[in-house]
This record gives sequence, structure tokens and C-alpha cells, in this order.
Amino acid sequence: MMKKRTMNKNKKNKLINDVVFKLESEGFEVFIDKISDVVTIAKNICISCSSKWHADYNQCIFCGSVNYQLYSCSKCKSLSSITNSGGKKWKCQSDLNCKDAKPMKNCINKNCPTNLDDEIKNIVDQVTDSKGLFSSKKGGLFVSQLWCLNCGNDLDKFISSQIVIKIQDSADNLLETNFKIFDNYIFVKDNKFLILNKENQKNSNYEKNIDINLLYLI
Amino acid sequence: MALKFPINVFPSVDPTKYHKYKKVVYSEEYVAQNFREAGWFVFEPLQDQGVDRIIVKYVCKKGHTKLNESLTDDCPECKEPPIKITRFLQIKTRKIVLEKNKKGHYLGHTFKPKDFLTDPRIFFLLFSDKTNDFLIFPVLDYMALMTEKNQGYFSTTDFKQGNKKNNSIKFINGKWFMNKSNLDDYLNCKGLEKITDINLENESEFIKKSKDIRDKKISEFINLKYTKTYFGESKKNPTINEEEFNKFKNSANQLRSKKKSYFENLINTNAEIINSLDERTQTSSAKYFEDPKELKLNFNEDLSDDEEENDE
Repeated sequence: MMKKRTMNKNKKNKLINDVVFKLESEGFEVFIDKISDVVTIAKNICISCSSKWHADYNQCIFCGSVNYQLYSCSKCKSLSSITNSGGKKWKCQSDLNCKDAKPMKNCINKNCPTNLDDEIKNIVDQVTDSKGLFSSKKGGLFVSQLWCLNCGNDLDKFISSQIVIKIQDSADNLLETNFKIFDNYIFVKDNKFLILNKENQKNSNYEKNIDINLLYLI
Repeated sequence: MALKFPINVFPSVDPTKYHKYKKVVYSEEYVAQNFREAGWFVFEPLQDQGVDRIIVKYVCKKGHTKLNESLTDDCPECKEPPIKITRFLQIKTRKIVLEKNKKGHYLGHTFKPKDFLTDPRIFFLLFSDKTNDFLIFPVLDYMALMTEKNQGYFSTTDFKQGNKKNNSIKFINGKWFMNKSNLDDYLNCKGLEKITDINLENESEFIKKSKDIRDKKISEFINLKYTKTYFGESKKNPTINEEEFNKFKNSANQLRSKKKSYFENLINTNAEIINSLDERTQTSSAKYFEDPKELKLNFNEDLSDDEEENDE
């Protein structure tokens, strides 16, 4: 009896995790409730165009370009990988093979004031000890995403929804729901999935895949 | 009987016995359990990335639901369907520390620029385990208090680097203050009232507060006046002079008026630069982004790139 219960719990856990990781792999942040089978999915988006918002990306405060995580040569400006640049013995990767050059974390946008205006460029060099605008230890000349990468809007918000994951037995045909509270249900039966949401409560087809477009999100 | 919030949900535990680096799970669960006791669903992240907890509860829009209740059906009093409240919590737990002048204690905490998104449903919760107090701030209120009481805080280089410890919240003679401002409105049950306020579910209120946060971010986060950019290593010996500083600032301010076409063009021209590089360098850049296609970057997923980044 004990063994059967443990196996059932293990099976349930496996099926729920299958759904949870599917949701995460689709780009949602997934939040779980320790004491129920309800999960919350969330995404931070631009209010205007719904593009994903990335608080981990940094933008140049002069032109809005993101940090592309490349070194530029202090002499010839050629770009090279941060991770494949030979450790501390960095060398200019261009054909010029510049002597006495240093790697800088500059904005790559050629039209950025920090690349166009010599006076501004000199000040960036001065305040970052010539390490570049995106140098993490000096200057403060970049900011966590402030403008949408797609449309330039400067407002973001979270969209989120609750999903109840219900594991059904093969013979179980009763779909218990409470849409006054929960936004979505995913019923799992025989490794197939049935999604109901508060806007569409009449679906009755178990499918092989989880179609995330059927989820209600606000 | 008056609502008590928070309560000691783990009475067997003496928090002082924890080493500070091992106390995070206990502290966050202490906060979570208190919200559960107050009728909230509490969701913890699968990955420890940004938000510490999402909390959700269902209440009557006419205010018939008590602070420690949640509806599972229509409001029993007015029969209206419940509305959902969703909040995004950032939790910081610290031990209060005696000030050098011994007049009181301070509650040090650190927030990073990326914690300040423009969604006004983000709340900061500071948990003082020694006094069993929760200070609960809507993100906008926290920013307003900080800009009023700690001028220039968000503009400092240290804050932008994510390591500016804030010691301005004090516990003096049994009361909480930020500098000289009393924080009673954010403490425990009062904080719970703020986080349960359904006005944020109103779209016009949401947008208004969202824009207020945006304005504060733009005026503070890209204000260079208080950074080492301007002051150098000491305020008496600035790295750059006033004229240079103003030119610098004006240049940064121009970004505020740019339109969608500017950003579309920016993505395209930057992508052209990256995509003209050799495949390995392209991939090296692209791998830092969750979705390189969003930035129109070409990349070869099969190329490995596993060397360590150089230290600066």
C-alpha cells in the first residue's frame, strides 16, 4: 500500500513537472505553490507592443543600445569576443594586430554620441579609466533596460495567470473547475493535455501537446 | 479581535542561530507563511531570478473582504464576483544593527536598478527578524521616500552597480523611520492594507503610477550629477567640470524624445555590425541574450563558447 502511494506521488510529480517545465521552456517565469497544484506563469513585457522586457539587459544612456558583450580595441575599434579572447593576454583580433591596444567595453553604435563626439568620448574614457562605457566598475553610464528594444516605449508591466494542473485517471471524465478564482486548468490524462480557460470553458479535446496559446493571460 | 500581522509562524526557530548566508530560505518562507495566514496564495519562483514571490488573493471589489480573508466564490454580502489582486514581492531580511552613536538600530538593505520596473504592483518587503516587523513599500512609495530623504541615492555609481547598501531605515525607541520620516504607514498591518489596496487593479490608476515610476527612473537613474562621473573620487575634486558635465547630461537627455522608428533603426544597424563579424564572435555576443532573434542577431547554436570571461 505504502509502495503504491509513493509510486502514485512520484508519477503525479513527474506529470506536473512535465507541464511546469514546458511552460518555462516557452519563455515564462514559472512560480509554484508548495501547498497546491496551482502554478503562476508570468512575463515582464512592454506595455505598448508586448515585447519581452529584459531587466537583465543594460542599455547605453546616450543612445539606448544594449550591451552586446564584446570588446572593442582601443586603437582600431575592431570588435572581439569577451569569452574567446585569450584570457588576460588579450590581443587585438583585427588584421592590424594593434600594438599596446587595450580591450574596452564600449557602445557598438557608430552613431552614439560616445563614438561621434570626441569631447564626450574623451570624458567616457576619463571617467571609466579607459575601460569603456559598459565597464561595470566605473562611470554608471548604462542602465538596466529602460526603453523597449522593439518600440522605444518606457513602460513595462507583468502579465500573469494561475494554472491549476489536474492529473486525471484514465476513467475520470469529470472536469472540476472554479473559474471564479482560477484562470486556467490543464487536465493531464494518459500523457495528453486538455486546456480550459475562463474565456473558453468548452474545449473537450485532449491533445498530445500543450498549446500555450490556449492559456488566458492578463 | 484585531488582526495580528505578522505572527511568529515558526515558534521553534531562534533566527539568531542562523548564519546570515543560510537564512534566506527560512526568512522568505516565514514571510510566505504569514501571507498564507492572511488568505493569500503564495507562489515561489522555479528559478531564483527576479521576483521573490508572487502573491494572489481574491476579494470583493466593494470592500467586504477582511484583510485576512480570501474569497473562493461570489461575495457572500453583496453577491458580486471576486476580483483578483496580484502582487510581485521583493523580500529583504536583515538583522538590525546598533548605530555607532548608539541612538538606535539601522536595517541595511540593497536593491538593484533592475528591481525597479514600472509595474506599480511590485512591493518591497523588509523583514526585521529581531523585532518581527514587516515594512511593506509599494515600489513607487519607496522611490518617493528615497528621493526625498536620500537625495541622489539612485544616481550614485554604487547603486547603478547594484551594491549600494542603504542604511537609512532606522529603528529608534520602538519606532521605524527613514531619516526623520515615520514609517508607521508601511509597518505590519498598515503595510498589509497597502498591499491589499484594490485601486491598483484600476487601469487608469495603474498607468498613472506606472508613469510616475518611469519619471522617477528617468530623472534619477540617468542623472549623472551624483556619480563618480561628475565627482570623481571626491566631491571637492570632480573628474569633469560643470560645462563638460552639462554637455554630457544634455546628450544623455536627448534619448527621452526618440520615437519607435529610432529604436527600430538602432536594432537594425547594430545587428548589421554584429552580423558582419566572424561566426564565433557573432555567437559569443548572441549567447548572452535570451532571444538573439529579437535583436536580429545571427548565431550558430552548434558553436561552443565555454571559455571564461576576463576579469576587468
